[in-house]
Amino acid sequence: MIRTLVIMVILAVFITGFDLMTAYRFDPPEGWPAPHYDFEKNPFSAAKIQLGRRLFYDPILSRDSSTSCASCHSPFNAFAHTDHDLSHGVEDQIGNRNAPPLFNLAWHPIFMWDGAINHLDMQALAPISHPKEMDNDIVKLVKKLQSGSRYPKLFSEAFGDSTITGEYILLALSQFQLTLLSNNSKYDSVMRAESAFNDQEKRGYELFKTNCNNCHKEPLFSTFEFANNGLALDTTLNDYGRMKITQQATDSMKFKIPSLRNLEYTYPYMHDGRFKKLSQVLNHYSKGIVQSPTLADELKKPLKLSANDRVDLIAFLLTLSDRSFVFNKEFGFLTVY
Amino acid sequence: MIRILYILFILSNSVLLFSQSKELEIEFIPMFNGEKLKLDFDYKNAESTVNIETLRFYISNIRLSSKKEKFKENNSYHLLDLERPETMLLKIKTTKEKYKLLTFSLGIDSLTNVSGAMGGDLDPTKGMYWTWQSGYINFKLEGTDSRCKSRQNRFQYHLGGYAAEFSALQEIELSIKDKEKIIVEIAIDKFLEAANPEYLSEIMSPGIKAVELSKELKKVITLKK
Ligand code: HEC
Ligand code: HEC
Repeated sequence: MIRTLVIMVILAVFITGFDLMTAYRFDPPEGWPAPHYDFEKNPFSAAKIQLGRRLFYDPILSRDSSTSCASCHSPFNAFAHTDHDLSHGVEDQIGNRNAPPLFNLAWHPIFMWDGAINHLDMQALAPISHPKEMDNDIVKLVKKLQSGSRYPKLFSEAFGDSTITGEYILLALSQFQLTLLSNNSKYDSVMRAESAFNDQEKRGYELFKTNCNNCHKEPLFSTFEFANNGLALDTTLNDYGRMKITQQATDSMKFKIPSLRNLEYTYPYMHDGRFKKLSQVLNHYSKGIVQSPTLADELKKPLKLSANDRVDLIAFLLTLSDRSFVFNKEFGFLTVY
Repeated sequence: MIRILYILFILSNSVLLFSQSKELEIEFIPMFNGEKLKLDFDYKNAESTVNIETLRFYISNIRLSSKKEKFKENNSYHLLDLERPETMLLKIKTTKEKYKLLTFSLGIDSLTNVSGAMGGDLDPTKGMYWTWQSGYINFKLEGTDSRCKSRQNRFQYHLGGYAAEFSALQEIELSIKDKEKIIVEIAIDKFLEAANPEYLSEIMSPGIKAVELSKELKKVITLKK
């Protein structure tokens, strides 16, 4: 008797659960590796995604209600920041670094240029909080959201609970960010055999596969590992990257390998935004590499890239621009009131 | 119909649970100069005046064993905060009342540390999560000591870190010999001496110092005789 009951209950849970899943399933593009994010722990729902989207665009998240996530991660820049000056509302921890674009985050195993953050859910705490007095701001934020008129209802719709918690805020922000999927560039359509590269792009693609693919690996255009790609230390910042976290000399000057998708929208480049143009990036790889003990093996010998090669390579890199992503209305600004 | 079945199922389950469950109490008592530690109280010692403002720590992964039986608490995460004295008493639902050995961790294990946002005692609003670098703070002790050379003689020890070489988690094993109420004392005065606030008034991130001091902390955790 008990056994039949159990089976019926399991069936019932399964059927209702399945219903919700089909409505908002995270669909990895065909041929891509399995995502790293564990969706079972944070099951998708429309209400959670929209709540996350509202939070992402709402300056209420900052102490003085001046800055939203989107202030530094603008949809029109593939959620990066094209202004070099990051001082606005930033604590010194992040003020030294260029805001990376946000897309295909489900595949990132680790976050920030130095990997300081181990999980997408926990990332939002970094911008929300003050770096020295770390334990106060998410608490204040919860109170602020709870005492307003709009958010308790939204949290209740999303989580079945109008008591707002830190966990819910983080889970909702993750959900919205996880929906930021960019896989509709020309490159993608070529891979799906829907269009073709021109000759220059073809040559660029070959150069890319020989020189860059080890680190900026297809189809995400990154392995998301840490590497020293031969940038000189900026002595005004003294940012040694990964070493700050692991405290190991072998990690000196290593930074998280960024994806090369949407470069057209995400300038300036590198962790400190030192290059404004892709031509400068390629000049770096062909003649600017600084030798050091932690320099990546692939770059110990300068890459042989003629002036023509560099132009071809850039033509290929521009096939990674995804206009439909940047102008996707689903990802755009959403106010609360 | 399904709903009724569901309720029946839950009911039958909980009846089963209740019929089996026993409760074991574990009380944690922070001590200072041989007495129960009082927050915001000036302890005047020969060389210094000490005042403890905050004491907060995680006890997790509670296990109990006797010759025949092993018990492991499910979802075993407890945030103890001296500001809220009721949190210092843990009531553990077990299958027996008497065990020989109590084992628990001081802090949060590495798997939990990399598993994303969680609620309850693990909610990031509890003030026990580092924000600029992921990871739980296992143990937080803040206050003043007249020997500290820092501003306003303040000390702040935030001990944590889960990555292999800087793992600060401490595994603690106490022989409890069939006791029904277990009292675990933490000699905060001894810990403070080991921390040496005159020379080190602040630990705010994972690293070697946090690991060393966590080991010192383990030494001052004992069963009340
Ligand atoms: C003041 C500018 C600023 C604001 C506001 C800001 N960010 Fe960022 N964001 C950055 C910078 C800079 C980095 C890189 C930091 C580093 O590497 O240390 C970053 C990194 C990230 C990353 C990691 C990306 C990766 O590839 O590793 C995510 C995710 C992110 N931000 C999301 C958010 C969210 C969500 C919010 C709002 C809660 C937010 N950001 C608010 C500037 C900002
Ligand atoms: C050894 C691994 C490695 C190789 C090989 C490599 N890169 Fe990189 N690349 C990196 C790392 C690491 C960074 C980030 C460095 C930093 O910001 O400190 C980076 C950054 C970049 C950026 C800046 C992206 C941004 O969003 O800021 C571009 C563009 C780039 N690489 C293009 C290329 C091209 C083109 C090639 C081949 C010619 C190449 N890379 C080869 C590791 C590599």
